[in-house]
Amino acid sequence: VSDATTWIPRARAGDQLAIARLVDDHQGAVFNLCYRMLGDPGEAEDVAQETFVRMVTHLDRYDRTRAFKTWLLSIAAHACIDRLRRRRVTWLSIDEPLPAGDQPALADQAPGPEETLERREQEALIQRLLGRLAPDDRQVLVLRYWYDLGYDEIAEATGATVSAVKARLFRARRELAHVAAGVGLAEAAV
Amino acid sequence: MNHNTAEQRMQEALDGVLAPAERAALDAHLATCAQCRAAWEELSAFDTLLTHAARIQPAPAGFAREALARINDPLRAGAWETAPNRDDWLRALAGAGVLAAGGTALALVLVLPALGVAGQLFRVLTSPGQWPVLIAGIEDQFSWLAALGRFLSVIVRAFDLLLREHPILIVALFGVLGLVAVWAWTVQQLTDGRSQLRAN
Repeated sequence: VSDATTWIPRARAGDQLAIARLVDDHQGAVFNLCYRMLGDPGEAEDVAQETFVRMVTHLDRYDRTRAFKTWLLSIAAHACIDRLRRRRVTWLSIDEPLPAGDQPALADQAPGPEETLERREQEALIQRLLGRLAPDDRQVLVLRYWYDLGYDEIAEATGATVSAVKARLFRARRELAHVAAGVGLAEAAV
Repeated sequence: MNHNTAEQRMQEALDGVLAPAERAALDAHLATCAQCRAAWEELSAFDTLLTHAARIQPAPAGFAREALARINDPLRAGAWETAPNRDDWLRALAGAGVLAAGGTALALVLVLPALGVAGQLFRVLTSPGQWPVLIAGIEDQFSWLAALGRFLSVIVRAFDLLLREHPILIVALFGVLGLVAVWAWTVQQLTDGRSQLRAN
């Protein structure tokens, strides 16, 4: 049963069950985008939850001809950019512990048995690489690889033109490919 | 095919949107260009890494419950969009001030003289014998432009004279510009560093 035909009309009418279903179905995709964009699990959780608040308050603006997931990801993507712009320059003490972004598995999520040390290291490497990019470039790269969106869909989600999406993807991939090669991509790509 | 075109084609190949004929042309170029071949190896290795390693990070336990609580709490739900931080207010205030001052100045400089010209134009057009008055009126209205030109000319001449007599000022000017650039770069690095630390 698709979102557009069943859950969205009911959610628009205030049906709590339908809203819960939408949150449940899309929480992974939204949280992941926020995590990839922000790098910090706690902050990602906060922005992802607020994304769902915006989803509910803006449901009447949702155009049924568009993919619901792309629309929802566009809300999350804009929320992440907003959050990144609000971050301020602050001095960190040498003794201050680094944020917990290096741990891909969250504290309350025990890693599954299939999760190996290599996978964790690879995950940390990818997150570090993403952190090197400008937010707009990172957004495009994440939507391309984590969500397999095409140029048109990324443009729709980010509000950019297709040519801007191509340019950002081009720039992001070229920069990170070079850096990843420098840190031993072959070992990382386990 | 030059390097830039080749790299463009490489990116399109990775995204699966390169036509077969263009792909063949790219392959032919890669066979003869070591620089592009190295770039292609880097790009394709990175693409493979992300394609295979990009996994969805699952939401933490209790996420949906907390999100629903937030949706149903009007205070918390509205807080995010209705509570801009102090910087937002300051930026908005500064922007409004600049707009108000700029708009007022623009009105004084452009709109009022234009209204005067329009009034004279109306009077002259209703009395065809007065066309010379129209020309004189327009010249009067825009005489400030000529004055401004003369003023700028004097400034430029004075600046030119000063630099001829004290060339060290040129060095000082570029020195100041260099310092500003270093300062801007440092701030950018600090911003990036902070984001990087958070991302890590």
